[in-house]
Amino acid sequence: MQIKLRLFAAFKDLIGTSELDLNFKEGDTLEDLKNYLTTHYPQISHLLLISKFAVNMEYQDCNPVLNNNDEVTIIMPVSGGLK
Amino acid sequence: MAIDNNFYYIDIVKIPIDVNIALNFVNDAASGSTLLFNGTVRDNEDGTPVKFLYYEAYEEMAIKEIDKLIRAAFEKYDLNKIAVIHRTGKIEIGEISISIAVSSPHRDSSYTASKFLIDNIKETVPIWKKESFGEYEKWKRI
Repeated sequence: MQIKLRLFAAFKDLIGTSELDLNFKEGDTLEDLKNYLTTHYPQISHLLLISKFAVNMEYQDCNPVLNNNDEVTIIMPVSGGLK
Repeated sequence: MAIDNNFYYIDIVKIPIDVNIALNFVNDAASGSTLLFNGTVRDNEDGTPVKFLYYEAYEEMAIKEIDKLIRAAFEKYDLNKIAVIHRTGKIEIGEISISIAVSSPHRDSSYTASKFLIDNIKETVPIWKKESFGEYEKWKRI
């Protein structure tokens, strides 16, 4: 399934794009996406630990199963980013 | 993108904020109080000189979150109208990054609702600012 990751602020700068189209297996969760990002984009791993996530523009406190065409965004915390 | 109904107005703009749009929207015959709050760009952050700020929003979600907060404000306080306008892009020192206008029958509700709105907008609305210190830059949530 296809997930659209929207990137803003420090995440956009550190990854170098405002959008990523990612492929995941049916049943994969937000946690799987976080693990994918930590592995493939180690430059954001320190920020991921303290960020919130939104799926289809709703904040997520749990670990929802992702669905095809979901739009996921990393919501950077109060402060952080470029050194 | 903007939301404009009989009770509230939300917009995210890339040009300088016209505070009269917010004030005119909330102007209301049943209100004895109209209050305008402007957030402006400060020339320093904890004493370190700031050159300018650059704001970026996840616009669709930002409007949705501001909408939730405005509805919550109407539930909590005795209000007539609310307008929230946020600017994005490069904003110079002294310029307005956000305007919040509130009208209510009596002044107490305007003051408490205005504070409720700005405090919670900073808490939940996905808008970020990049502080430019000249030699380096730093992203922050608003």
